[in-house]
Amino acid sequence: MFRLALKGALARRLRLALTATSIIIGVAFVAGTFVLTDTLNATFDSIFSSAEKGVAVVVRGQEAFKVSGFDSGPTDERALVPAAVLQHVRTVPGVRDAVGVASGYAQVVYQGKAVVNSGGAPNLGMAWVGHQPENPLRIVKGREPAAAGEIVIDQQSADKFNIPVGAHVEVIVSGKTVPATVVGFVKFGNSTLGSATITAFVPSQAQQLLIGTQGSWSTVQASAEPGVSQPVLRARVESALASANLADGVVVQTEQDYAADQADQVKSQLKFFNVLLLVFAFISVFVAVFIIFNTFTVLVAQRTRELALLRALGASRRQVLSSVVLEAALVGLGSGIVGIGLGVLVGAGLRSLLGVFGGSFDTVSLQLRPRTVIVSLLVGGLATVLASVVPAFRATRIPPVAAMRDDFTLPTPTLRRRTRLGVGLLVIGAALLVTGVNNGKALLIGLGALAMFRGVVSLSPVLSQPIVGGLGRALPRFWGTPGRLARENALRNPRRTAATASALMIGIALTTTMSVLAASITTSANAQIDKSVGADFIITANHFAPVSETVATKAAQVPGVGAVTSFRAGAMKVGGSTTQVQGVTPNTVADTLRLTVQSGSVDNISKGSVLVSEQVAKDKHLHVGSNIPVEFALTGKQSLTVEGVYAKNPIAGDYLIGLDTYNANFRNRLDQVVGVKAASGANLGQVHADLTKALSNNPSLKIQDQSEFKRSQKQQINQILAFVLALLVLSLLIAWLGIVNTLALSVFERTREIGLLRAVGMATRQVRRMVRLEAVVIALFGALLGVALGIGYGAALVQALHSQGIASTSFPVGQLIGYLFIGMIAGVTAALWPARRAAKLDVLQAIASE
Amino acid sequence: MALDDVSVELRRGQFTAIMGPSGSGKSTLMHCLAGLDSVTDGKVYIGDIDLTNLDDKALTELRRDRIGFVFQSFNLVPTLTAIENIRLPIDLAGGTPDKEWLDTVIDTIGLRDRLGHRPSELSGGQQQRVACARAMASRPQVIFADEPTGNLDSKSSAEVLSFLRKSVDETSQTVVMVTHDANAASFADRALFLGDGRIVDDLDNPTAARVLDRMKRLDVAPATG
Repeated sequence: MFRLALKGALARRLRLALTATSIIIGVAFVAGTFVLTDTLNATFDSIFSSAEKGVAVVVRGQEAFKVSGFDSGPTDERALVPAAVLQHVRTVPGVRDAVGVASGYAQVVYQGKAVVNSGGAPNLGMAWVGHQPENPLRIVKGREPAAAGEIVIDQQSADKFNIPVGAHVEVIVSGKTVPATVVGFVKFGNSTLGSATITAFVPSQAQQLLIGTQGSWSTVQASAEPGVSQPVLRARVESALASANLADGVVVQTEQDYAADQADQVKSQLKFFNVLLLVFAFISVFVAVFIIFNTFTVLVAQRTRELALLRALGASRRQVLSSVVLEAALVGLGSGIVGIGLGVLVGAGLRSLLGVFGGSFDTVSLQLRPRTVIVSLLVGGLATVLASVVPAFRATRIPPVAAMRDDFTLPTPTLRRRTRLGVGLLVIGAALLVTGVNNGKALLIGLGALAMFRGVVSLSPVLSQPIVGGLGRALPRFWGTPGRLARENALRNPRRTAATASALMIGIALTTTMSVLAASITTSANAQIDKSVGADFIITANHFAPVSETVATKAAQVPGVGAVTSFRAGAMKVGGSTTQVQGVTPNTVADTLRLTVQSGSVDNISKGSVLVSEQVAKDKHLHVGSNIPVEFALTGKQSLTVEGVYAKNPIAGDYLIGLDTYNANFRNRLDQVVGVKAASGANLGQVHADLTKALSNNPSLKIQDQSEFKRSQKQQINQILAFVLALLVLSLLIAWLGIVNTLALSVFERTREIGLLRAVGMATRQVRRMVRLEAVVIALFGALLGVALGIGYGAALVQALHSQGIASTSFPVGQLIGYLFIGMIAGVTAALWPARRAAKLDVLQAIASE
Repeated sequence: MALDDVSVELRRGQFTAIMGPSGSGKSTLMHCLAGLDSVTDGKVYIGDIDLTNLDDKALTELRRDRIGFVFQSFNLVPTLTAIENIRLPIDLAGGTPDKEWLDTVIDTIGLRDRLGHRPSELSGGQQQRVACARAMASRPQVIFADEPTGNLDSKSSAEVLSFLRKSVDETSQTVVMVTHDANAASFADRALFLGDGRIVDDLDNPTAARVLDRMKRLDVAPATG
């Protein structure tokens, strides 16, 4: 049977090549995602471990709870380490040397231009602790900073902004700008720290500028005497600190744990991206399954006689079944192997794509882990085998007598059962979806969406008759007999038409869903901005990078400016769960945010007080004067007094505290957003111009009025949409290959018919047109189903996200029509090759062929 | 070589049968005459058009406008109804059919009540009659029929053959038919005998008996397909 399967696979090379291509693309996407993920993880591991190479033990401040990812705010919120710890660690036996590390925000401005990374990576300030093994920085040009006012910067930034050694620059640190001279360039570890910019000062200046106190360090890092292991030294340092009463508020970690911690921070932020890529990779595989199913169905049908002959010669049903399944497994495994190879290239491509956004990640060779190979082969093999099981089973039903008959066709089950199944699934799916949406259950929504999708797939052969028939009605009018034949051909095998269309439907449905979601978010965001923003101008930095508080200070000095509000992000724990809290300028927040007061006052938030949204007040039974127990990562358990309750305001969120309260509990001094309200009667245009001029030294700042802000919000949403759509393009490409495949098979099956048509006078041009129009109708059918399903999904998703502030549903009609158009284009282009093949058929051979 | 040094003139308004056993080159001859196959040497004329000078596009138009075809099987496009199949060459040319003529043709084949049916709903004989009607619908200069009765029972065969005969008698249609059936050949005005790629005999007004006799004398057993 193995040899038979192998021969079977080789004999139908062309068709299998097309099938294999769809699997290869899917597997390549899966493998590429894994390769990229593993490579990036390895890159960060290597950056952090090489950075801390000389270090054995790290003493760092405790954090009351772990905050990570998007909630964490711009800086590390651990407590500082007292300078006394450093003195004491130096005396621990086994410690060769120890240094204090100070890190924080620092941004260089050179010749009036802010040295920033376009990708929104952080601007890191550090202390230059000398040529120690503990120092992650290595001088690559110039010299080390020797006095206050001298700095070294990372070479990447120096190259990018043409900063020479000896350049006089300004450095913006939290709250102020200081002059400095660049005396050298450094590398972090062996390369760069992601794509962060690095500015290093002498230690005392770093302490003063970056952490605001000379009495503390961010961390204390110690190297070991030869022969002393990291765990041993860690234990010694820990007990030494404990006996000196210095252990409070600090933790002692081995370098390995510390590096892993640091790397995990970055990796956890990458995780979302990885999951997203994988989801789209599996969508591609899913689409490929449709194509394979289709191909094997047709192959089995074409081999009816061959298989019947086998049965007549004594092959058992099981042997026939295994020959077909084995053939599929061979194709799947072969495609899997090619897919892995291609996947490595995809991974490399994606990595260099990341490089375009800033930063170099190519310090580690591409990682192809055994897991990647196994998963890819499994995905390729399983997907193909699964897709072939039903056709293979059908093959066993071929009676031996079929070999003797000329016109035997496989009995196909009636469409009635399918219809019943499809309607059932559709109803159940819709019910699940609605229930899920109403109760906010993501799992139900997902299951419902899947069931509905499956329902539409089951129904599509039935739907194809009226829809394809309807679409096709226009064809004879415009394209005469070829149009008429194209319509009939598309209608002729509803299952095949439906399966081909379904593959395209998936991609278009998801595309439509995303577009509806994006349009709804945009509309809702605009409405929110209108409703909740009182500021005339909104100042942000590219990619939501936080800005120094000098921005707010400078803005306040511009003539015509009435009120300026800083918005700082942070996380706190309320009742066991971590939520976001914003620190705002206490006496101006009511000017820049339209807060509808429910009770209490919002005009000037007192220290130790908090404003809460009505939702929080209701849920937690709070009223003005209540005390809320909260916990901050830096300062631990605190109590805040409710001073006011405001109506739902998406920009304000649930908790607002004054900057003084914020500063007492967070180390961060950077603003996420600065809101500016013009004084009454001021000329807005003039104020805008003056603001822009006052802040012109930092080109990464955007000073936008409300309509510009809306536009840029929309742009950002569209950028994300474009990224997601780019990922969906692969699934569309696979669906496109499926159309090519189906058409090629159909043309092959209709060889005699095409020969007849040519003999009675159909011109080659007309043959091509006939095939092309058939493809267009099938593709348009798939696109229509996809858009319809996508509209349903999108509307459901928007409903489900209602509580997240997406209040209105909006359908981007132009885009949706565009997707139908794309479907048509897909049809036309997919038909090019099969149509040419059909037109080039040798008439005589075609008529003579069996 | 399927055909060697064949020189033959088929007369306008006549029903010619090309006879011969399998492998005698009769199908090849017909394919060359009909512009489906090309000759390596020599000329083929339909009327005064030299087929050997025509490109694929011109040959296609020639087949569409000046030639009618009836094949042994698979004559009709399965997705089109009987009437659509009949009109196919005219529709492909984008022309408007001569309604009166179409009516005459349809009446002659006697399938007026089955025009809306698809080929799968018609019997073998009915399908061949529809194919004949299609061949005639565009008033071609010549109809080529390749074993038109090869798959039919004797009653259906007789129907199809008399229909071809009638078209010659009543409308002076030129018909060329390839067959190995002596009975079918007896419907023709003239029978050409092919053997090993050459014309070996030429009979006028053949009868079944004479044809059989001729074939026997050629020492060629009646072929089976």
